[in-house]
Amino acid sequence: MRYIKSKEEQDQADSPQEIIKAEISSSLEDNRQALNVLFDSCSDIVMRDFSFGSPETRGLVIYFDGLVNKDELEQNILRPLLLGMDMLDTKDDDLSGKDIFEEIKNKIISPAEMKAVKTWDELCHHISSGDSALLIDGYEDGIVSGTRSWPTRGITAPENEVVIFGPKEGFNETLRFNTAQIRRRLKSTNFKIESFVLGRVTKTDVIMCYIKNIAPAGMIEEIKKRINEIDIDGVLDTNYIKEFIVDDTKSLFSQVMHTERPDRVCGQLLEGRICIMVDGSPMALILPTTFSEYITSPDDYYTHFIPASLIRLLRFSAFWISLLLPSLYVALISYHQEMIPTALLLTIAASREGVPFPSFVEAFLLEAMFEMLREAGIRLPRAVGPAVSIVGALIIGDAAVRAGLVSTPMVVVVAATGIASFVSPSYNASLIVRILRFGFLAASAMLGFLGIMILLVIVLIRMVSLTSFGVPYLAPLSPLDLSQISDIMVRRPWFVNRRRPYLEGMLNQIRQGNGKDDAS
Amino acid sequence: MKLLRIIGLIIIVLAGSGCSAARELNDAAIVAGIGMELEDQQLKVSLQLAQPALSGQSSSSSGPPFKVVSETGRSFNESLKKIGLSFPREPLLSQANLIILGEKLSKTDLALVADASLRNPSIRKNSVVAVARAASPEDIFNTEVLMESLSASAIPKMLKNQESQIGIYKSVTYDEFLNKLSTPGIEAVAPQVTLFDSLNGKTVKLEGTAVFKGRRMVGSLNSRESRGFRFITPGRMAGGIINIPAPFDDPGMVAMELTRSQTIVKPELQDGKIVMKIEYVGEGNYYEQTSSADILSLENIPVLETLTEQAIKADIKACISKSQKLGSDIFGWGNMVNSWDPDLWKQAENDWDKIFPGINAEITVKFDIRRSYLTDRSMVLK
Repeated sequence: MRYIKSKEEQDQADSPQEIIKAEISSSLEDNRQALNVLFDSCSDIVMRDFSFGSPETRGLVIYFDGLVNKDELEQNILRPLLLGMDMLDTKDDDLSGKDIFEEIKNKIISPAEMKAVKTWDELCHHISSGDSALLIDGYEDGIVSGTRSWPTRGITAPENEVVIFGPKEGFNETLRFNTAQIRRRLKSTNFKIESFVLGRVTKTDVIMCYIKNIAPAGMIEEIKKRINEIDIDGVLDTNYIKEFIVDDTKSLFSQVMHTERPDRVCGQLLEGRICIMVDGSPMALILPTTFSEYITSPDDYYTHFIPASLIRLLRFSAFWISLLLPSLYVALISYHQEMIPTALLLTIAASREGVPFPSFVEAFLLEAMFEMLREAGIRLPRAVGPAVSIVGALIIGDAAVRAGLVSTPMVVVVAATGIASFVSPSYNASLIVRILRFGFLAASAMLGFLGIMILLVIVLIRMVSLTSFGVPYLAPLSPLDLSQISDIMVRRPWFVNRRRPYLEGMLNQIRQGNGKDDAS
Repeated sequence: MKLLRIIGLIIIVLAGSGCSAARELNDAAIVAGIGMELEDQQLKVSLQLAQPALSGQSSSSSGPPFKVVSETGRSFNESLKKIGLSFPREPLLSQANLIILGEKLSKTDLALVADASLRNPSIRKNSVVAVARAASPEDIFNTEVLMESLSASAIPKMLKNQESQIGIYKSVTYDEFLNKLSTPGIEAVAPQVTLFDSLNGKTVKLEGTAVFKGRRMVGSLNSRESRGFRFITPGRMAGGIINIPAPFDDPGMVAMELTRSQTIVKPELQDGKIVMKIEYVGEGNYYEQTSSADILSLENIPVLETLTEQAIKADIKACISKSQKLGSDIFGWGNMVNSWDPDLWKQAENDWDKIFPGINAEITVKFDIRRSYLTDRSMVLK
């Protein structure tokens, strides 16, 4: 019986899939039923019935608890409706002759953002995003008002991209705050923000921003196309988007820059790049990006160009150290001993005396141990994290040396490599270095310097053939662009930095002097 | 799958081929010096092995920080490889920066070892070469040196230091030495190392320069002649002390410090005879006087300079007459003639052994005093 009854009920009421496609009805009762079906088992939905005006008109306010600012809802929507209908027209209390809907929309309720919607689909999207909806008996349109408000983290300093000088603001998880931070820095009508909604379930807001007249139009169209092709149930972080839109989805080289700094986004937008952000993620994607991401940091541009250039050279050498030092050491002491000065070789030989492992195994074990410590350091509670990782490293290193399991120079090499790997300004870019380091280690154990060289050539070939949205990955080193190369290895002072790095199809490369006026 | 198989193959190929060349430090012994000597008609190879000191702890315990291993055989490599019969590690020849040639071997025939040591890629061609004097290379390697753990690393340092301090001997690298052995018109030289009894027991000392003729050692330059050889070698040079008797009936000595000099040697034809023009231009500092007389005055400077010039010239002459007596063209004059006038050299080449002892050298020496350090007049003692 029960089964049949429920089946009957189901026949009577439309299924949620059908309702969502339907338009809002003029009957409040029908609408309420539809809402009950749509938001069945949604305990956080609030539907508030009320009557107002004279003759009495029934209304319904729907919102999700926790997503709306209740004060604003009460003061700007409910109170004016309940109390303020009188103010509409004191002479004539009878509203029957007027279009109540238009009156309410235009004269009574007062949120800054307001919009009439016709379908359930639109209405649901809005209330899920934190807006509140108002349905009035007898009218087919719903009014959604912008009452979004939810607890946010606030604007804090970026944790992963720390700079000494320069702005300390970072993005947070609310997309609108993030776009506002960029807009505040780019007060130009040419700064465009295009939005998409991605994710079948999550319906996440995704935006793509760029500066018109600087960013290549073809690239903008291509990226739009790629974003529109994404069909996925949910988008929770920018990386979801990244994996769909990059040129080479399997490549480990980061073809897209991640940043949580609005100033870095603005700097990159001014170079004609494009930024993608996702609601709910503080990481912005900047594309296209090139190898320069490995050695540049935004605060290069906030300090004097000479120290900034030296620091950039330091980062460049740290990049090579973190990539090659363990493998060079292993190759040196197991293949090319003649290249080590005798005194140094004697010291190394003395500390290797009695170590039971070949140098490759020794290096591999220590490197693996270091990576584990590093990974553990991220997960450990903030208060104990650094202390535990440092103490752990010391104890493991020292005890291992005392026990004769590893040699002291190897600990020094691994530690130096570890320090160098933290110099990289981009965590995402340093991932490949961490992986390749083991590859180089294996290559050096097999063939010494020759092996390192072979792998280096293979990696270089890979990097040269890689493109990021059409831009060669090693640009401007390969293909060589002499006018831009000086802004990669060193930080060019602004007074000579007249041109933007060239991007295919870029409209305006001049950024100073007699260039076109970008900011019109 | 196919890709995986290919990668696997590559790894196997690389690992299989590569590992044979890999040599862990634990399986190798670091060779600091290589010695070669003739013993009972057989070649004796001695290696000074540096013993890695375990850091800090056991350094005080026992013996010198090196071991010397020797083996004799019919060829260099046989002797070298025979060491493996009584020694568990592979000697790393590539670290050796001193090669000591035994006196007997040098006087017999260097061809016994020249090819083996030229061909072997592990023997450093930029290592320093020295000839043992009145001692075997093995003894020299077995001798402890003050302040330095290994005699094989001490001797190159001593050679380098004395060149800028007292300035007698010239350090010779092995490739230079081998080159001179095989180039016509120039003969090889190498500094000699000997043992002597000092207050601290037996130790090594630089003494003399071995002079080769062809593939054999024919004699030796003493310290004055060695100094002359240094002056006569074309090119720039720095360092050294020259002692001259003080002028004006003063019984003392004056020491000049050589700061820099340049020597140009040119062959010239005079009346159908080859004459070598040697031009030495040097400058230096007034460094010491052993009396309290007022020697260094403006008027005296030319006198002092002339005396220094004479002293340098005498050293050069001593060296020339010694090498002409030995009949060994250690200056490379034949080579200079060859590059100056190849036709002339073609005529003279076969008779060079006869021509060389009779060649006249026109020596001009110019010396300038530049500075006198902290004082110009000497201290006047009561």
